Amino acid sequence: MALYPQDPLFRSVSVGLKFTTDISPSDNGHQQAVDRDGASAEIDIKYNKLSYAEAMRVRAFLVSLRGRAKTCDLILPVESHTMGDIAGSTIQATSLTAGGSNTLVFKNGQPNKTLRYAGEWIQLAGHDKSYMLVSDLVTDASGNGIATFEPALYSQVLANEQIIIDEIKFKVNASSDITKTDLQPGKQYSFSVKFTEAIR
Amino acid sequence: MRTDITPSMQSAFESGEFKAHKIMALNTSSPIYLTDAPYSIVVGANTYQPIKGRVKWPDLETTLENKKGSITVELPNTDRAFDAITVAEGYTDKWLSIGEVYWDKANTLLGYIELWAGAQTKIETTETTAKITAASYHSIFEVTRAIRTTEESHSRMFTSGKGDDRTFWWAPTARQFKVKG
Repeated sequence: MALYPQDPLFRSVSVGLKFTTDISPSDNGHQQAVDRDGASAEIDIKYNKLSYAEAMRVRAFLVSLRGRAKTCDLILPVESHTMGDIAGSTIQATSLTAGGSNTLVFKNGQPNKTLRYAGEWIQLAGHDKSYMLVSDLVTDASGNGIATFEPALYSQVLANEQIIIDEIKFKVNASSDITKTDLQPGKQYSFSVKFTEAIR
Repeated sequence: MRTDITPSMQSAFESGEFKAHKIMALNTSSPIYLTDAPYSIVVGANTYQPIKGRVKWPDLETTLENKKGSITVELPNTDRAFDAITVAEGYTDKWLSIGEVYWDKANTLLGYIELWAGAQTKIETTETTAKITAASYHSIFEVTRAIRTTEESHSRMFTSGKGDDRTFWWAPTARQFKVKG
């Protein structure tokens, strides 16, 4: 899978999970809400002014994706990494867990560590989807623990499947079929791009 | 008004916070079970698989009475799967049912309610979509009942042609008339 260029650096990254909810609010504050499971990550990237060479590199990569046709891996600054202590931990699912579950029991972590924090991302090896932790990923004295995340699992997880806790690669496709770069005076380009998580 | 809402479903609805996903079964020789949930859902003996593409559900009323009319559901068909199925099996008399599965706020599966069911009457496929139209059994009866006959057309149904002079008894009014030849 092609990896989106890490150079030039992004000026800013906006990433969020988009849920779908049918909600019926009243003027007095009472309301009813119907939840639809599933949420895709949507990512906006903005650059500082790019030099000609940088702009051509980014543009060529996006064109190689043929608009929205192909997917790529995207490693984001900060978001793909953790402030937790992951050294020495390669954690795995303890048992088979069905799709639709919001929790995953895991094993083989370093004991008594906070591997990742709530609000950070995790993935499963071989799966396209990225999930966001809603509670800290902590291990007990035996190196075991429970991951709690959103949205619910898109597909079942087998026992011993690896849970990725470092360098999350978002699998994405461009949100547009056309790549436009704005040429500014002095051969400086201004450019931003939007991605949508792709589960294929 | 529905009468098949279970107490647990009713409690979930009244809580103002529950989860719902649609399911659809198309009874081809190998039945197709689909859901708009991102993961597979087991309901009864069947496993409903996520629809990988855009789907347009018809507007459905959650009512038990008179599931009348035709509905059209639009499914993704970029893999042309429905073309192959239609060629192999035809499209009439394939039963289509659409329901909704419910969970309470604690994510406990509560069961499902069938919202609509009927027999497929039409399929339109394009490069990207398959539009399946189905008519409910009420509609099928209506269509049959809706055949209108005149005295003349009725006589043509029972005789080989004009020129016969016969007497018919027109039920239920038992009105006697003669066919003009």
